[in-house]
Amino acid sequence: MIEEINKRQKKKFIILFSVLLFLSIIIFLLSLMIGQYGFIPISEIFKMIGKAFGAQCTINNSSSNIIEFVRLPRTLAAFLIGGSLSIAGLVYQNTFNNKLVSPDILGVSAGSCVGAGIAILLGLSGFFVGLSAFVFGFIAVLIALLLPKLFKNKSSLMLILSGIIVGAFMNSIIGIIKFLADKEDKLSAITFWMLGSVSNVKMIDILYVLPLIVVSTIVLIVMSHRIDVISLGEDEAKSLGINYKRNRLIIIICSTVLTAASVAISGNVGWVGLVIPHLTRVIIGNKSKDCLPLSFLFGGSFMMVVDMMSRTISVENIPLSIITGIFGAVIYSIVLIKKGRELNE
Amino acid sequence: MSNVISIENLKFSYPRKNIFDDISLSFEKNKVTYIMGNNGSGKTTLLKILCRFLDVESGTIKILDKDIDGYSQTELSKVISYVPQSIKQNITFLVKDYLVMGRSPYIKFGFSPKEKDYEIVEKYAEELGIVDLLNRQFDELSGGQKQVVSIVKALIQETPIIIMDEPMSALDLGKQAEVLSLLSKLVLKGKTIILTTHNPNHALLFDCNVCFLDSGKIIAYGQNTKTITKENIYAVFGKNVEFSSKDSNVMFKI
Repeated sequence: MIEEINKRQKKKFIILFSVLLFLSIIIFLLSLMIGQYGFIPISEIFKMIGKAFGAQCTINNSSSNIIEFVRLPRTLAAFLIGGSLSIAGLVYQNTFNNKLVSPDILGVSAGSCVGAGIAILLGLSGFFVGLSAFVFGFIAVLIALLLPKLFKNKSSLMLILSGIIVGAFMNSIIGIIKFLADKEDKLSAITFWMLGSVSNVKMIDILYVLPLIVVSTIVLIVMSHRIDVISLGEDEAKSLGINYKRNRLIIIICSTVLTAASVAISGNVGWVGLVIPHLTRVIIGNKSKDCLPLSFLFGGSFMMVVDMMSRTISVENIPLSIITGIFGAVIYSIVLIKKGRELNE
Repeated sequence: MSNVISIENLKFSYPRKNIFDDISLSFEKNKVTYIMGNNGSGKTTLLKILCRFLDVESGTIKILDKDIDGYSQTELSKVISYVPQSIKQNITFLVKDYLVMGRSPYIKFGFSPKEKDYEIVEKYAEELGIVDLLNRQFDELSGGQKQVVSIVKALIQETPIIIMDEPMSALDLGKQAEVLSLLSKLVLKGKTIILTTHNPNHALLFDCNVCFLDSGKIIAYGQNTKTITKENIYAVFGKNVEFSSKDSNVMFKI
């Protein structure tokens, strides 16, 4: 009987995975085709792909430049940050057994904002803004992990509370940075960064974060059964032979890497890490093994769509968080209308 | 007569509450041992110490003649399984996926449950008559069903010692009887069971040991026929009771 159910589930997973993969590729190509510098037909894009693999094709130089330096990096970035934030949110929700948790629960985003803010304030280049964001994101989480030791209470609830404390503290520092920032250019740069955008991403930025994202994602997928066991809580996980603290630490590190790497290249993008895991769970159920790959593809395609909107709705690039916020609120409401009763039980 | 667990000079306290000041006791192999006492007597704390969820201040605990700290987490989970008291409400896994977690001690890092693990789940589910629950979501079950499922999960863990915290608190009378008869069967299969209960009647139904706890002290310990007395029950629960006997079953009247 279980064998049958498992087979059915596996089939469902394979179908959903294929559909999402296909969808991701379609959106990816679409995202290369449309944008500010005009429409580029699909035939051109295929020619470019052909040329990249060594085929003899004549291609339009200006289209080639648009794709190579503008659309390809930002599309890839959108896909990667959407996927990363989604699985970071998913594993946090499972680890803390709390469906309202998002990737920045331990203060990583607020920390990154402080890092980026300081770098912008000092007038550093884009690379150092990203690096500083990454480092400060990590520092924030480290503080959140160490605080419970001070309180002599190491429960998950205490960890979440520590994260809230760190987040609040970092937000105050952001306030100070904004207050000090030059109103003409730096303040707007900081504000724009805090709302997230992939418009200035370069290929090299992606190459820096790609290994981090790939490694963390693989580690989390490998650990998926343990993530499920850990979601039962500390006592039960221990009684099932899981070294709770060590495994939780690995999970937190991987999620932090994913979030900090995303924030480093695109700034702060809200809502994705909260909403996409919910939707994935509604579709496929609760097992991390199925949820992780699906929510990566789901979040990735969602983010590519959001980025396409951000550059086609108006002449100026609309910050990503504005669009994800509107989308997120609507989608989340729909999910809650359908599944909301479960939350108060 | 051998002991699977022996505790010597155990001392434990919560930050603002002293629980055990120096207790020693041991648990007999192939036997059901009930730990009885009022709320706050230290029953659950004792179980949690045995599962190593809590660190003791001093004293030694030996499990199967080996110090509890000598076990790795995985080794310990192959010896002792645990059925928690309050089963968390927001577990949204399917019952089969929840049950298969009982195989976790045997699943290496980086691996997921395989077909053979699910076969074991199915075997126990059939044995205990919960096959129809397997494809349902855990949080949609009734309180009693949840408790039965979590007992089955402990069986799937296949440990010689099973520790249960109030396994019968959410069960109706029929299910209580089923669980009690299951316990006596498990003992025949060589398991050692340690459980807490509020209800002395449970401990009268078959041969077992009883440990009366009151404010972290052992009031009485031993064979049920010798320990379940009017005096001990008065000492622990502060109530005068009378035995009433109908046919072969002994019951209390308050």
